[in-house]
Amino acid sequence: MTLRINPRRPAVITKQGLRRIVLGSTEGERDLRQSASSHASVRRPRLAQPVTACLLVLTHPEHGGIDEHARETIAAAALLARADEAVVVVMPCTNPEELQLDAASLGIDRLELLPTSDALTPDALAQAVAQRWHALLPRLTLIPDRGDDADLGRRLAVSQQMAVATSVVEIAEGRARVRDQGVVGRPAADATARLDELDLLMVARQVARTELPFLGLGQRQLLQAPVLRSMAGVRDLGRMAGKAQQVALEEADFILAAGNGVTDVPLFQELAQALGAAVGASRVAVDDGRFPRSQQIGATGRTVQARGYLAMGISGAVQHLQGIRECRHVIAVNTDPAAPIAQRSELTVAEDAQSLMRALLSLVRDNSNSPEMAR
Amino acid sequence: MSDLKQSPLKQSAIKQSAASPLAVLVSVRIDPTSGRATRSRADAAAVALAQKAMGDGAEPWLCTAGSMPDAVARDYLAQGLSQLTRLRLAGDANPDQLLPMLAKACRDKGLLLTGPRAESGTSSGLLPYALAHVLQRLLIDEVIDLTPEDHGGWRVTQALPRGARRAWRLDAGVPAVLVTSARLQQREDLPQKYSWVAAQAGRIVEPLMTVAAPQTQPAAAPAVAWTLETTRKQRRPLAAVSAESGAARMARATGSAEPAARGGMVIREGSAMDKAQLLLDHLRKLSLVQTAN
Repeated sequence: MTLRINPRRPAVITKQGLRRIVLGSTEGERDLRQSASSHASVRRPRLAQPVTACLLVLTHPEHGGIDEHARETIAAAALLARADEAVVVVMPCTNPEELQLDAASLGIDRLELLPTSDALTPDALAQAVAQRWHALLPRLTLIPDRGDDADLGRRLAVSQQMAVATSVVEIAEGRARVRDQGVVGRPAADATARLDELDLLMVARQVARTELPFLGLGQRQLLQAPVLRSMAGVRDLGRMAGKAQQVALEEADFILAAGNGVTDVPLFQELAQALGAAVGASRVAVDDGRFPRSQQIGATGRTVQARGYLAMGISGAVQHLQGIRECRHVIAVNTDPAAPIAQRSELTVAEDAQSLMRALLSLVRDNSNSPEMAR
Repeated sequence: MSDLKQSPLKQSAIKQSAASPLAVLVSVRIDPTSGRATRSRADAAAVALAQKAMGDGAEPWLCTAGSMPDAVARDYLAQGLSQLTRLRLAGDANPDQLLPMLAKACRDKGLLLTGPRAESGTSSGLLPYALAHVLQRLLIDEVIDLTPEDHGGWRVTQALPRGARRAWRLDAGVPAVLVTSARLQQREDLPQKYSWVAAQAGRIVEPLMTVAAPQTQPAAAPAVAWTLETTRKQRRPLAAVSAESGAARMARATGSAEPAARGGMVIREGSAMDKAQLLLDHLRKLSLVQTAN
């Protein structure tokens, strides 16, 4: 006879948070899952001591949020900060009210918002940031090495004579590592420098993990808007928005993707045009010949980083979910709300793709015909 | 090389090139696979942009600093240019003198066009910024187009993310440093010429540069001691020491913990129109759709 032990014997949770089985007792919790989640660690603020110094992060937010690269940079600063050093983030943004950030969970101790406008020249912005840098005197400044931030960081580094490491690929053992591509007569290698010799780190992707076991203080502060100064002899002729359909999928902000559930391709394309979204497709739709191979998203296609991803009739195979791993907001329309994509998406609409597309198109058309149209 | 007679037309081109309003700084690229010195595609695209902006009958002034092998220099000349200026330091000079030397050579040139990043060394992309700072000029980055306007002005177009463009007008005689976009080499309407004859006929000029005394230069950035190491493929990201309890780790390993992804809201009820309205409201909330309500 084998003695079988009931895995769901009643257990009580002790004051220490441990699960304890009292043999023979009938009181207590029987569900394994709930007891496991009771062990979930609580994140506490990292700063316990009074602050004497700080680390500075500079980054531009985009559409009221920040991307993964900026999150990694902030996490790197939080992990590098000593026990008495605060993580201060200065964000130049055009619309400070619009910004939706959970500063504390990102590890930010103080978020300083620098109001800017389109008329502010990059040099004037760099000067405003330099003033802030002089006021804070951070031990280290971290900036993501991409786009506007890369430009701002280089202007700052040159004007303030900072010791700078660009495209930092690794920070370990008190040293920053960059890639050296070699010169005539010397092959490529890695170059490292000590962190205490550096003032500014411009970091590449994946320098730090964004999961932090602690919280920041999450204070918010609005800085004074910098003074506008015009550049002599230069006139700003304004900016033109890109056409969503012409932008490479990797760069697109909003992607409308079709899967096997989309049979009415002209309607789908019309909707993409009306929403101003780039067009992507799953492998099944591409194999069927409904979309070109260049629009395939997934393991064998492209990997996209869109802010919004609206999946029409896509069940969400693992290979497809790999391709949309870095999308921030995933919304799915599917007849089966239990499909794997529903696990990934923040909003799932259980509906046939065709009828929903028709309804959505009519709604968007109605709005764009109204006089207060935005674009 | 020498048996090719230079035509009078070529001679006049050289004269124009010395007083050219447009200068392009080119550099050596080290091939990551073979380790050989080659022409940089980004710099070649910058040269092509300058040629397109100046039109026929004039050519940009091409300049490089440091030791560029002749073969690479001729690759740049093959784009239809008559000369390339190579600035070299004396054997024992400090490499920090490269920037003042370059600044001195470029001081009288109106617009300086450079590639986005060097493709050798640490490729920090700082040189154009340092040059603009020393010369007290404005700098425009991510340049994707440059067209001449009337009265000697220029129209500079920047490439912003997601296909957006921003245009600037530079008045005549306003000196600037223009850093081209990495997307410039993908432009299909920018033909890059390659002519063997031009490569052989072009001249590589090495003017005698006297470097200014160091005390006249602005205070340089503190030197960083870089140590070279062999490349390691594996990069370790900075990660926090896990503060998780052993029980939580065990729960995760056995799958009895709560699944990480639980999915979001599911809309099942209502007509297609109602569902579409909810979906559109959600898209508006995320400001993905810009139409007014």
